[in-house]
Amino acid sequence: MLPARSPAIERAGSREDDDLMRAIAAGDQAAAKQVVEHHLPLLMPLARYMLGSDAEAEEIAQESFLKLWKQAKNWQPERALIATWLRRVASNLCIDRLRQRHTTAHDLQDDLSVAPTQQRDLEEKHLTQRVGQALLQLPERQKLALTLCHYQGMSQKEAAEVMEISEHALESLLSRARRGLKKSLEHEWKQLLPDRHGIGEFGDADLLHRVKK
Amino acid sequence: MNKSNMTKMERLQSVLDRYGADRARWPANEHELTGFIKETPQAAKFYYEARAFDQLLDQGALPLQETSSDLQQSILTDFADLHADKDDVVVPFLKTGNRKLPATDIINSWMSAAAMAACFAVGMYLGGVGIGDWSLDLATDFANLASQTDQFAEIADALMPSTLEEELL
Repeated sequence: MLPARSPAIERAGSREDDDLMRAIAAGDQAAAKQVVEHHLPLLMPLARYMLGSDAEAEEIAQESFLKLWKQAKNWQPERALIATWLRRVASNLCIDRLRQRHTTAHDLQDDLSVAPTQQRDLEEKHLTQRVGQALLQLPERQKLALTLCHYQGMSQKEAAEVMEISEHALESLLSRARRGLKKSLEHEWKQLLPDRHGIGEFGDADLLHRVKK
Repeated sequence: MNKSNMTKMERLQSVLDRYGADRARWPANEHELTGFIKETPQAAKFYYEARAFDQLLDQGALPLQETSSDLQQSILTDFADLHADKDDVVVPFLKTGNRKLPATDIINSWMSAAAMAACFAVGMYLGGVGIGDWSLDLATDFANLASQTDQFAEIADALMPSTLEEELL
């Protein structure tokens, strides 16, 4: 299940980010707990997509929060939201880590855990792994752009802010990422076409109906 | 295909490459392409392909996981440790009014700073005056001071046992 669109613009609870950061700078444990509870579930998947490893994702998350704690006294609320700031730090840490290692995507993908309770059938699990492998093989910034926009549900503007690039540059990354994946996963996505033979004749009534709206 | 449709087709391909088939993510000015998709079989084909690709990406989504409570605890422990360490740090000069230190730390830090300033001033004085002419006087002063110190020590030795005895008794 993918997240709702634009979670980054949500604020942690009812308190504004700057109030929270002021409290954190003063050593307020409750404020720190509130931020962790709200942002950790958003940060973990980002690192998991980027690194393909649960263990490394946890390290990245912990390191990102440590940087946030240290940054608290110098926090400039008008410059970024906590969500944006944390994602930016985590993204940079992930990219640093990817540059440090030269492990193959195949080795890493094996480390990802698929929840046994979900009872996915073998074919679906294979498809998930196949997409995951292809994603891990993308250049790091293309992978980050696609992860933020598609899997994290961020708008182009928010993702560009996280990556500290222009929206135009982000769109270029997205475009290249999608084209690259589309090519490497051609066999897989073609299986999902509504009607492979009658596609040019609007064979999918449901899709047509939505397009007509 | 006429020139106008060629242009629209290029636009559609660009939009599908950048945003995928989820029209909610398309820029507002590109929504007019919906009519073009409906009317043009080739455009619909591109749209279907982009939609299939989006579905594939969705199937590649990692399963949601509960956030580890151990991880959460570790992060909060980092926070507590950081603030515990802060109490031990002596900050010599306060940069902002927000930071509050115990009064003793402030006094200690100013005393250290004052001692350093005094050493600096003496050093400057000695360097500026030169030690040639007054070195003998200084040596004499030290000798006098030492003898006085010895006298004080003798007096103290004489007094100390009786004082201790009195206390013991």
